[in-house]
Amino acid sequence: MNIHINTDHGTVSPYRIFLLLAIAAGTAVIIRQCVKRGIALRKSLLLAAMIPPMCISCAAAFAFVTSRGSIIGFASIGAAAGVYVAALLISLIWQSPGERTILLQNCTFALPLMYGIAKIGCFTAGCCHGIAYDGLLCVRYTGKRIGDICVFPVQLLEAAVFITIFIAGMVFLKKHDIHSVEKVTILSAAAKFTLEYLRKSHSHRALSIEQAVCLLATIVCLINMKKSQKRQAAAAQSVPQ
Amino acid sequence: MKVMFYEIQDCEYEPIDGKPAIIAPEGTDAELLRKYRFIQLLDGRWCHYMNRDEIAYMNNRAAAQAVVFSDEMNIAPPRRRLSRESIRLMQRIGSLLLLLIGGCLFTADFMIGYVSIGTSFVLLMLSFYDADNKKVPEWRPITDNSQQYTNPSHKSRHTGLLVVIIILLLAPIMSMILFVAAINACVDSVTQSANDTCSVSEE
Repeated sequence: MNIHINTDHGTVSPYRIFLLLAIAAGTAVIIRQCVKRGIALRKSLLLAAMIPPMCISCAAAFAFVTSRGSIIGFASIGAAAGVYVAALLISLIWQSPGERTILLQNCTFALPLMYGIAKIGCFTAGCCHGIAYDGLLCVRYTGKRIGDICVFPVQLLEAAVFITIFIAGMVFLKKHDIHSVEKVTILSAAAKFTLEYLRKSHSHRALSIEQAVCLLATIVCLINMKKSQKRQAAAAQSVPQ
Repeated sequence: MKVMFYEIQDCEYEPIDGKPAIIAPEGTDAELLRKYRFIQLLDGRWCHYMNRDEIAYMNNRAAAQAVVFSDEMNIAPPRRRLSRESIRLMQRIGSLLLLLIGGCLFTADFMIGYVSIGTSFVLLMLSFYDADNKKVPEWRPITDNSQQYTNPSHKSRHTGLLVVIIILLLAPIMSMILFVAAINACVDSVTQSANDTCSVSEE
């Protein structure tokens, strides 16, 4: 069974629709979590207003800079950075202790959902497509920009994996797992690192910039978890019997 | 040490990440906790990070079994404004209009492909700039020699203005990047067309 997608669209492309949906869904999750965890509605709405432009600006800037000016597009790592920058800016405007951590945590939980929905948009546009493949469920893209190619549907696989990671993150949060942020980050980084090898753009490269960022994020999270466990052990020992 | 924090009874004092905080007992009504600016940690506990006035007040009663925070004290309680005041704020005609215009412009620009996000973003930011609470209660000095807490609204306004200025500077930089990229793309396509024409004429 093959899937055929014609990438020649009119003025409004499905890619842009899914990108906007991704930002809207992520923003909705962030607002809900912020309000539920005690952040003022006013601050949550300002964060919601800042996320779309920061997300898109940083995604475009990251793609432009890492491709040395040859690519006009959006990079997922840049978009994630944009979301975090928006949260940091809010915490600068309203300096309440502890709230910056909550904002950054909620952004981390929402990012896999945003990425998953955005990948569906990539699937419709033919960008970030997989390696050449003509087996079951191969995707045949046709169009002026992309030509005629048969590739692996890596975007669909990424969408499924990351939406699952988002659901897992919500389950961790509901169970009050103190390492839920680290677990979501490690799972997302591992998935991104692994699935990168199924992309056409990764051929002829040992390690991409995105994979390097994923490795770094994983190391930081593991160190954080270790420190947190040591702190808890020390606190448990200091409690008088 | 037990802490009676206004309407929330039997709180525990516990430093979190090195910052003095009060932990609410399990089962306390979440709306009440949000009213007093408690935030929920990952482990499900609700905590309130203490400000300087509250820390000083507690330090002066360090020997006591329990510390009571009440409305009769000289510290302004950290109560959030009532929800109807928030709705009134959001209903300010100017803020709402700016928000709508900024949002529509951003969506339309993004969908059509002319990414003038700078303009829409500035409008969105301006719609929230005045969202700071103008009616912050006056902070009065505590009688037992603690420092007066300065009114935070001026600081947050200045920081907000700084953020808007940074964004205004970012918008032309982003536009320039996109413009240069568009020029490069045009030059590449012209070069490609010229090469194609040459190869056709050679054939």
